[in-house]
Amino acid sequence: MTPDSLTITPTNDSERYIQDRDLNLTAAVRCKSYGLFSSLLASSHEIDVGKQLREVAGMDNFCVYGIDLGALCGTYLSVDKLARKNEYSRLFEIGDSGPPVAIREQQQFGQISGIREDLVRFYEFFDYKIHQHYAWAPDHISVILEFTHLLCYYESVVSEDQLSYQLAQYDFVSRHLVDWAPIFADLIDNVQPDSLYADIARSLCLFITRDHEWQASTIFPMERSGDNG
Amino acid sequence: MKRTQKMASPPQMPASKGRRTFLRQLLASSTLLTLNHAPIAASAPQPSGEKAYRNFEDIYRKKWTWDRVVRGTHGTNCAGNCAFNVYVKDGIVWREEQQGVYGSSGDAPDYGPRGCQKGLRHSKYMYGSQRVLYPMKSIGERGNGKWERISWHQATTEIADKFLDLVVAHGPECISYGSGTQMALKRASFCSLARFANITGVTVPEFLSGVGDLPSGIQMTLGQIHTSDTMAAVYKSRCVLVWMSNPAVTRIPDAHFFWDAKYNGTEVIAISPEFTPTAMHSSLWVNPKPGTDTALAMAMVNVILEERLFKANYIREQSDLPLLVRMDNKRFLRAEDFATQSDATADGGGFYIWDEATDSVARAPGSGTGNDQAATLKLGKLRPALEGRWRVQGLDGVIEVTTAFELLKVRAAEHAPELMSELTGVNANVIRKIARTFAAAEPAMIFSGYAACKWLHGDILQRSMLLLLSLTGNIGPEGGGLQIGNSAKTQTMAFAFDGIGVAFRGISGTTWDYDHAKMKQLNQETYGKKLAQEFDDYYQESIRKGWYPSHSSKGWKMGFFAGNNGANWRASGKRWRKSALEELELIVSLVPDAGVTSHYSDYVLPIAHHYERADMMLQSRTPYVQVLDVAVPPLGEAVDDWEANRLLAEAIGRRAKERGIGIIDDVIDGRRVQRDYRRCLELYTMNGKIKSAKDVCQYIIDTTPGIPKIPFAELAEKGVVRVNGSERTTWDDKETTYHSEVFESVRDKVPYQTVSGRQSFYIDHEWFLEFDEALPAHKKPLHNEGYPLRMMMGHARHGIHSMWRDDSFLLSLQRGEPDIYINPDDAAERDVKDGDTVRIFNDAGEFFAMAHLSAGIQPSMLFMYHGWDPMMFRNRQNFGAVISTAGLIKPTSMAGGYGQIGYKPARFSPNQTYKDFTCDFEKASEEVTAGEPA
Repeated sequence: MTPDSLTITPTNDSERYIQDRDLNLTAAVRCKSYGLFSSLLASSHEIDVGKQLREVAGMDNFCVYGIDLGALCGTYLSVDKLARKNEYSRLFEIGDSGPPVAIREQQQFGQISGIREDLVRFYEFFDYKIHQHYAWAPDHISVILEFTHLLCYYESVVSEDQLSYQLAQYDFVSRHLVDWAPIFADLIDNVQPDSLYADIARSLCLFITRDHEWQASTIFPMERSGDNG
Repeated sequence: MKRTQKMASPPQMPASKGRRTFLRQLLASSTLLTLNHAPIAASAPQPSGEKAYRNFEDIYRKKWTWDRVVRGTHGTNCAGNCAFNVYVKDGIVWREEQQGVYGSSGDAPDYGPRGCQKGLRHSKYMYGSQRVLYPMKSIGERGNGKWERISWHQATTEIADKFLDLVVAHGPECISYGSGTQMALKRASFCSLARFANITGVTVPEFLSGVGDLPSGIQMTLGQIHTSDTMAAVYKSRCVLVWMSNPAVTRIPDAHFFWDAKYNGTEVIAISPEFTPTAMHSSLWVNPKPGTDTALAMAMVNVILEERLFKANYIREQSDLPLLVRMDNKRFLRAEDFATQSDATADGGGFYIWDEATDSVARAPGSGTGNDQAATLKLGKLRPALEGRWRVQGLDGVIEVTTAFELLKVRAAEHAPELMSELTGVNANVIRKIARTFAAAEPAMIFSGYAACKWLHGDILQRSMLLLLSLTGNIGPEGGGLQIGNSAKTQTMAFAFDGIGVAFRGISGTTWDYDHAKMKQLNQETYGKKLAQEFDDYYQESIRKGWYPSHSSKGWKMGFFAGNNGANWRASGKRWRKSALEELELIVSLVPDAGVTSHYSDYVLPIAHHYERADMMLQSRTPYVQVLDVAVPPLGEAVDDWEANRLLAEAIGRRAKERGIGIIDDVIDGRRVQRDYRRCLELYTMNGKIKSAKDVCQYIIDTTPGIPKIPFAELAEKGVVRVNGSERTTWDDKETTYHSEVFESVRDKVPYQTVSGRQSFYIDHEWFLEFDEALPAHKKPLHNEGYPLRMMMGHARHGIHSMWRDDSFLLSLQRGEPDIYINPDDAAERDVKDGDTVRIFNDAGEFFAMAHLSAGIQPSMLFMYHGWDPMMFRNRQNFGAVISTAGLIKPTSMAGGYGQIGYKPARFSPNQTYKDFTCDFEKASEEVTAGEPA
């Protein structure tokens, strides 16, 4: 085999197309939903998301995939700020053997550096630049959700090649959220089942699972010429 | 071409209002895009061509580039000082790589490349879940794992208020500021601690003796403790005894010097009870039973004396072996024996030899003060006799005298190889062989770790090692010497005192613990009331005589622990935690990583890790200054040690002003000191002159001998800079950065800082005579009655003390949890199999670990690598539980009033004992192992 013969041939998997998405109806809702989950799981110590959540909490019946996000935002806002901060710290910041629940993907999966590189490559490809203050934690679940939110936003506003953002959403969620979200929810359930963050994580898990299924159902492999499949 | 597949439910819109209405409401609610973690709302890139995304592989097509490559290292106490390039992209450290920029000394191999798996793992570890990222306050009962995250302002204000309450009520002595090696080895960090302590008057228990690392046997013999050279000196040796050390594991970047030397014809002889990775590569492995090393050393001394293999002229000039000793009371013959005290003093005092040239008594060169010979060891026309007995006319009559050398011969005769073979388990012929090899080699070296210091009688072992070296003329030559450690002549205390004066309260860590952790009680329980009382009587007598200061009157009420995991390594384990730590009114930890000490703290303050700070390292193993530069900002709200102490100083000053707290009177070493806590911040920063750790580094560069006077920025750019006077492998240049006193004595004949001005092997202090320790001799190791196994410990391959011990990847290279090495026969006797959980116990306590069966471990001993944090064990209890020796303070280590022997922080004070005990083990009960995988 000569070096020339090693040119990469796209596989079936690399050629995909989208159908059955009504962008006007789905992109903005999904964008808002990912954004809300990002806000709900942002560090209560670092970021005040009250304003964003109040707007949604005030909306009538904001349900997505049967998940009442408006009510979830209302619950978040009803919890005392200091109590919320303490709960966040106890779950995600310190414990006898590190934080009881990993809120950073790398922590959850054993400090595998490939996870972070994969994230940063996605961020870089789509020009998502994290503020210096948070740069050390590109794998924080809130950052990951925020990036997905951004991809959905792009999908809703760009005039051409929406496919890039649609496929990226699916791949990104597949690689970083689908496996992790159930673990994240289970761990919080084990540690503090009656907590605000347990509610958020259970809802997130449901949302990610259903949205991933929905995305998958709109993505099809391209048939190659000569493929009689 | 369209395909069909089962469509999952789309995101459901609310039914009541209609989709378009809802979307209008949603889009009107605010901008749809809300980025909390990105500085600006990104405008949507229009993908096309190579920017189009079709598959995840697309994101990997672009070449991975670095934003910056920063110079750095890991500021731990591994003596590695390894230069690394640290690769940064998007505010993250991704990897590190050895910076191959070293050179060599003389014809020895290159110092580089340097590094190990811990260093190469740090870019992952620094983002690990063990990191402390924010100031935390404990909620509820200490150690329950419940925390409240608070601001630096709240933390330092509350700490400052408690600090001032205690200072006003009791004075600052009751507040400790303990530093661990993780902090103290970083020069700017240690300077910041020292200055903070000098200003505030807190008590600083020195950690060398606290962790049983103080080489007091060297201080006793040479009057100082800095005997080591660069690692390249190993290559210059012809015979190296690697004794109480395991460099293949603990000195990874430098171990090659041993194998380079071996390839070059050097005999590398490993002496250790267990078969170590170092033993595996050595020319010969000698395995004495644990605790019999002094017996082996003195048996070698016996051979060297019996076979007349010693260098007579060397010991005549350099040692006290030719000094005359009175036969009646075993004291040195002194000037006072010939004249009244005042006349003797006026005459310049000193010690005496028998001059074979004139067949008469003569004053020993180098001894006394103010006499003609006191300033030099040069013998001139004198020829000191080593052997013989004489009668001399003293003030009160005839005195029968002999030499210390003659007494040594008698002592050595008690250690004949055949006798010592029974004790040590080493064949007498092997003892003779290594003694002859050692004596014949020119030069010969003993490369030793700090393990000797951790035995109750480790000082005697070090004295016997030095005796071997001196008898063979090997203290001084390049490639010789006792290689343990050397220190840079940094101006740490000059920085601490600058513009303030001396108001520092540094004390022995061991006596601090004895006074405050109910150690006499532990001795009573373990060794009985008689021994506990006897040891305590000597302890109290030493204080009464003014040999040692007492720090017990004000109590211990508050503790800062900076880079210090004291509740991990303290002998006696949980007992110290209960009886000392948990008795404190306030505990503050300043750490980058969580450990058992921080878990029991009231406040935990986050400290920057190695790649997040500006600092510098100086370690004598290489002739280089090594930088730590800021590769990325500290994670979370961490700050470096300089900044942490600045924030504390600011809060103390602010609260002192707000509370109207005026001057506080304090006493340091009998001197009255006035402390004005309102000025804490101004004093700390030298009135704003010192703004950051970089400024502290510049101060160190400008004031430390031997360092090229360059800006810190230049050091940061280069990574490493070679120190002056390092052409040879030895630190023999007075103008260089490290201590060179030994060479000045051997080469320039400058007297040693000992009572006799000479290498001091015979110590005629009354307590040494009383305990038969005037000369080295084997003493039985301690035995806990009813417990047959001797447990040994050592530094680990996969961690430096407790750092990196919990790293997931490094754990995957081990057993994944704390393990203890056991001889298979001992295991079989107890029905224990490899991998079983075992309970290790004695009368002091118990802990659990995984059995790791190894034929490399002698029967009747156990071995465990140290550093495992108690949080990694059942019941939060590590090996410290069975170390019953925490309170044993050897009487002679409290002696004083004798030149080099007497309280000198970080030079002479009692070591805490970590190795001198026995224990037993058994298979853990099913109750303990319930739930464990089979």
